[in-house]
Amino acid sequence: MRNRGRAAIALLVSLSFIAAACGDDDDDSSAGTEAGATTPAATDAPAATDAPADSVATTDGGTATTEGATADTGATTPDDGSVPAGTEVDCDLPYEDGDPDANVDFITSVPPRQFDPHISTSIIGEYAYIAAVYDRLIEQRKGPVLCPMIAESWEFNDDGTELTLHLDPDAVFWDGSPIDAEAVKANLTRAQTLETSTVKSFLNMVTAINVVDPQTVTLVANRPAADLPSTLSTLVGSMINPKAFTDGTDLATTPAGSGAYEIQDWVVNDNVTFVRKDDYWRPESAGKAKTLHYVGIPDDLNKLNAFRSGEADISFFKAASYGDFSDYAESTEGVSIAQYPQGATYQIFLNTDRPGLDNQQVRQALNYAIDRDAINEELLYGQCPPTSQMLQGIYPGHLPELDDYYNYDPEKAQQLLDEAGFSDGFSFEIGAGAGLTPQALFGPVIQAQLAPLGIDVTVTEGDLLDINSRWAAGELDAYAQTRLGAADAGVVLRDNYTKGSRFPGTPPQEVTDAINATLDPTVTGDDRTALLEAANTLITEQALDLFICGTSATFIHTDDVLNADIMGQADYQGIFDMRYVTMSGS
Amino acid sequence: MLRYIARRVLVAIPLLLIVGFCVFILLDLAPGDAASRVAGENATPEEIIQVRERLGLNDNVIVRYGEWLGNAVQGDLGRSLTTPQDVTDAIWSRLPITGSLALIAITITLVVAIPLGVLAALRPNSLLDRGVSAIAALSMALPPFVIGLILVLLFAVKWAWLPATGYIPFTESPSEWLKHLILPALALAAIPTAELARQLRGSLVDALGNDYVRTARAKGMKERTVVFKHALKNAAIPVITVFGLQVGRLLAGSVTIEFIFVLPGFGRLAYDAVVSRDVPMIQGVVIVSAIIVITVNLLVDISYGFLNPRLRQR
Repeated sequence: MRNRGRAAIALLVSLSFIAAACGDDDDDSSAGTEAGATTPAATDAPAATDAPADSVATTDGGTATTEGATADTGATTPDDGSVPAGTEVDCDLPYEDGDPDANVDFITSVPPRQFDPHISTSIIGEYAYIAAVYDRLIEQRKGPVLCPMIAESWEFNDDGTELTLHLDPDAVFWDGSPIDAEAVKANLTRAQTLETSTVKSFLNMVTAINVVDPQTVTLVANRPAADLPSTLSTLVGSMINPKAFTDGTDLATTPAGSGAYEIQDWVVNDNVTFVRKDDYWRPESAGKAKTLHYVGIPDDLNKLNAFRSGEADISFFKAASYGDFSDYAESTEGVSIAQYPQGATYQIFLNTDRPGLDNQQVRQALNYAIDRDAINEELLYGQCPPTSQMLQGIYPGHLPELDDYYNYDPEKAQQLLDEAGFSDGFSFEIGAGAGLTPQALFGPVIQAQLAPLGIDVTVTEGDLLDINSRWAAGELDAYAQTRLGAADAGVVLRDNYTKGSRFPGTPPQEVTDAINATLDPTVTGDDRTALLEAANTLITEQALDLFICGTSATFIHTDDVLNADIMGQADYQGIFDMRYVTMSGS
Repeated sequence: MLRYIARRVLVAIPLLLIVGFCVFILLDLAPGDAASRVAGENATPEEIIQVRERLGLNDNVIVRYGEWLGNAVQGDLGRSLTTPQDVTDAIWSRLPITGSLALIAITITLVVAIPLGVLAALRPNSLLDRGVSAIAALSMALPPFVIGLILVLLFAVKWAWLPATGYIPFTESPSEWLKHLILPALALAAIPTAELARQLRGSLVDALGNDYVRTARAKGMKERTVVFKHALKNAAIPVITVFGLQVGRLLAGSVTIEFIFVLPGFGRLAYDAVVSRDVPMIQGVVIVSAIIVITVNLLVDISYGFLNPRLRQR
């Protein structure tokens, strides 16, 4: 009997692992959805700079013209079409040098799982790790702006369907072999054809990759593709040494890279230490710190505890934790908060194919019925300014007057419902990832605010992956999530309103047309800004989402940390790009 | 004794089969989809379907269990769906961390619980006895993660004596290894210490009331000999039973403690595997934890024979 009892206990203890671990997926694969607060940057302004001189470029129509290419990179205009004609694109941010032997300890939400960019389950979440070991064809820097990296310049043909990349002749992999056109072709082909590739959809417009000469490669698209340069600046554009494709290297564990750092030590799903490569091919853009140590800690309280006990120099945190982190920063000498301008938005995604939500007036009514100021003040410490538009202030196409397009007006909401034939209200379901803050907090608030109009909201919290899958499959009416930014405003609109995984409903044709128009690289400057404004306005007028507020990335750091406020990609996705971050050494 | 051990090992085999099967069934019933995670956050529903097909997740649960079992009996627990690791390698890399944590927690448990239990038993109903009972009750009432957070706030944040998170291998720095494990071990040891102290106190009070103790004292035997050689040895059997059960509890408690203290141990591996629906990893973790618990129970049973010669002769 005793043995049988023990057997049962053994069984229960074993199974308790499942039950105990069946918690919230707070970690999730999309750290970018955790972007935080939104007040202007509060960190020390960098003083000295070591940036190479004169890499300021201007755009002028569809063809790049360079006012001052850098002596080191030979950089020319990053003409991705996202910058109005004549606007200066400053790739030389005022990076400080700091201590060349510094080690920087970071805490982020996503632990390092693997290092193959083509099988990344989150090209945003894994950017911090993979970007350290692989250079991309094009580099994203704060702005956002696209700057030369392996491609020293690029241009489109007249109809915007061919992107020609001119590669830096000095670009080499770690083993000294050149990063040439054949290598680019091999990499992009692998991204498109590898059976386990998770990035195929990012390149589905590319129909041919033509090697012109060792330093020139042309990508042929089936449509005007102004979004391609932006795509090539993500992990999709990472350059892996093609030798690794055939020699049996397990790229998930053994990078064959081109980047400024290599792995020194790595505990899967926990932490990784990178050490700077002293023979990196772009010495002027080499890593500032000698070593970078990343730890993935999903929970914000644990992050704060680790930071307070001196185990990290800089840590990301979520908007919902702003109060705890800012209290600590304000009460502690030598600690600051780095806040970027908002580039992403918290919204209730609406499935426009569902009954009720397929009516524009109903969607507008929902937007008028929401008190965004109350949500911002009560849930988000006043750090998430109310907005009624997708494109936030860092993007061309943003219109300040759209922020209060849907001011809180319950009477107007009722009037719209009456006109739409929904006087007695209706019901719909909002899905949210359990424990995912602040998104999971929105459901009950929206539920309460819509109840007086007779709108019955059911809030379904569940495993984030499950909810995400249900949303992508069109099984949910609505979904509380973050609409993320990207390096290009057109890509922001494309990803959020034409991709089924983010917008499973059928967008109005005029919206699709307006977004596609912004992806034509032959339209640039003020003309493109006008197209972006038109598309952005249509999305607001059509009320394709239940808009809530604009959000941005927020970090806590010690004052010894340099360049924390100008990290590339951090400004709209909340992900570290630590290459230029270092310590003062003081 | 060898026949007894062999019989127990044979009994463990169907138990492991049942555990493995139950895990498959539970994972099949649970919401969530490994294919979604593997396909990536931008995957279309069609891509998720393709991944599900490629991973064989559409197969009948019995078929999948059969395939897994066939490989497992050959020592191949499979490959993780979400990290580039063989399940066996991942488990072996994490076990030393949880083993270190358990070792220190058990040491704390024994060092604290045995003296307290003995002292309380020697002076039943005294102030000391009641104090030990009260502290033990408090320790058992507080979940380990609450104790862990309190310890972090005091020792790591307020006084900055010990680190709040992370792990340093013993081979790299023994002192740092200990510093990083002392707080999680204290949190993990709180309940086992309390239970062991109370159990020891109760068993020893009973033992000290037996005739053979009275006889030993009447014969003029030293009190130390009476307590430690005769009474404590007889009181040890239920204590060891409880201690054996605590090992299973330590293993389960490591899930939350390793999460709070950001230790990349066996518990965190279990947590990460479950939230990412990494079925092969979950299977491996559950089977290994079942083997550990069964082994500890077997060791406990064997220890009875050493403590009580009468059991050896059965």
